[in-house]
Amino acid sequence: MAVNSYKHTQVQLVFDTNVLVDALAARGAYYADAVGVLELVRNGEVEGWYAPHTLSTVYYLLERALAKDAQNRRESVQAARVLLQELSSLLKPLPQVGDELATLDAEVSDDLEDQLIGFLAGQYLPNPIIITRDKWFLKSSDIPALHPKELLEQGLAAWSKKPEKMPFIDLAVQQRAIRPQLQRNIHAVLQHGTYIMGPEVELLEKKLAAYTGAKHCITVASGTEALLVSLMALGIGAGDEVITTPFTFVATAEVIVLLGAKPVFVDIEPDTCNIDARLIEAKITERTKAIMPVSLYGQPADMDEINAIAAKYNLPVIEDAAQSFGATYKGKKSCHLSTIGCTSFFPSKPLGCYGDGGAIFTDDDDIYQACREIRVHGQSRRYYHTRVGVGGRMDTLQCAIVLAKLERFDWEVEQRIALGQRYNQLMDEAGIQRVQQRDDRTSVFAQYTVLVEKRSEVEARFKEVGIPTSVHYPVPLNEQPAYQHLCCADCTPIAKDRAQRVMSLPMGANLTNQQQTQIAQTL
Amino acid sequence: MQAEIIIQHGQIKFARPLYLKPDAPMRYRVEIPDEALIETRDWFVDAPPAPETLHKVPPAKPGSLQERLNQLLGRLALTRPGSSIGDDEQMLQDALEERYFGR
Repeated sequence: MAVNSYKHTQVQLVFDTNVLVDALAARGAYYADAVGVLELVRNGEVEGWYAPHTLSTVYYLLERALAKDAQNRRESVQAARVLLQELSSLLKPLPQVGDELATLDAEVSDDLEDQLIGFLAGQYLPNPIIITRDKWFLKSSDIPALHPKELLEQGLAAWSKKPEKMPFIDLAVQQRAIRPQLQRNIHAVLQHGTYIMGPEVELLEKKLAAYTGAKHCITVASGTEALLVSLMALGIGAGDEVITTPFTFVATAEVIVLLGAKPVFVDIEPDTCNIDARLIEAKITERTKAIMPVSLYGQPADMDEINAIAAKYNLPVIEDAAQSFGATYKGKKSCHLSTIGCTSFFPSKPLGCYGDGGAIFTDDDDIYQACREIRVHGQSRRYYHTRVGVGGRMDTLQCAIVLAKLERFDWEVEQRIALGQRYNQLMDEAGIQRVQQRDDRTSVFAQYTVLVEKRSEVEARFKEVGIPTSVHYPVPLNEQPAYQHLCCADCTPIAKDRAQRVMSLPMGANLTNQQQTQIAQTL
Repeated sequence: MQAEIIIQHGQIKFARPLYLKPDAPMRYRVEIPDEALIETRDWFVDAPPAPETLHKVPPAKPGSLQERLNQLLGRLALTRPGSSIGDDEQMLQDALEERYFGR
């Protein structure tokens, strides 16, 4: 049974051999307690782990226990193997490189198997408890050890430590949830050794295209690279203008300027903080070559209105969907809402890798071909360069990581939407102004952002209680030293105001209701 | 006579094989100094289970993990006597000897 989220995220159970054999073979007076603790894992109450090196011992003892009632050895062997499969669907293996045993301190214990369980649990899990019937375990490591009976009597809450500091985005819980798949995918890359443009690149592109509904997907080195390659594919260069928002991460305007073009900033809507589509047409000139809206905080902008204006002037639209992969607009997926969609797999993004990565989406065959060539130094075939390009490929390893994360992405999007709605309710009840979401689209809440007065005081209050906050973004791009010559600061008064008041709160698919309530109370 | 014995994982072996007459007693007493003993490893020492509780299908609520285990085990889904940590260690030791010393 695949469980994505556990109620008690602050404690992790590691099962010793004896408890597993007791549970699986209904052995001894406490077998029901051992099964009871495994049931907590099965029901999504708590994470359950085992040390891989103990599995052969579990198997051997299990087979011996069953053999006494079996007709022949084949029967007990088969039954033991079936039970091991069941076990691996319930519990996750602790990561193990393989040479740990040789590095353990021989002075600590003469029971290497137990010592290694303790070592692996302590090295990898933040707050493990060993579930065992062996009280010598306490000698092998500093990790708390409990008999199944004791855990059931005391309850999990008694062992759930409050984290010292709430993370802004909890990537550790997510990583533990998908660790076996991550390791499998990473090992596959190490095995085939095609680190650049390996089979995972094409597989990911196919899966992402299918997810968004776009005809083509081209993975690239980062979200910034996705924007740059897209503009290059459209032939945007010196003297051209691209209409965009000043209230975004700098990459949006940076790539335009890098190509010698000029970003033309259009102010934002006061409630969604996305580009105000009603103001775009007035900014179109004969030099305008594209419109680049940003799906800020995970919510698409008014794409129908923007696409209509673009169609009127025969302009392409590039959706900067760095924050909104997984969101929808009138039933269609973000990244497939205009001529081109660009997203980012920066680790903190709703779908992130463990480094930099990004992707371009389009239905246009010519743009697709151009993007593919530009991504690899403009080459149409090996060492034949038909256009100027960049070294912009996404690593095979990063694609392998996104593939592992993609398996539970639908669940994460559902969680994000539910948590965003709960945040909305808490903020509305408390009378706190927040970024609004439109009814005809969903946000994946890459950030959950509120509007506050005297922001530095509010930030200090949060810091005092150990809750991180962030500001997306404190200065509009048209006020940044590198870009201020392009547009007057007062030309976008809403962006100017919002930059002084926005504050983002912790967000992620594994954020708990308890944490949300604590955040709302602090606010 | 006195015989040298070796204690390993809770079991006794003679250092050299002894061959007893067919009518010799089966049981002998060995005295171990109290200070040589350490406490049991088991958290709770199982009381010997009542015979009527053994070899029964473990009771299971509908939808529970126990029900799933019973289903997977079929006719092998039975309650069994406990095994101390020492018993398990010995069983494992026997297995290793069997595998590597061809016993």
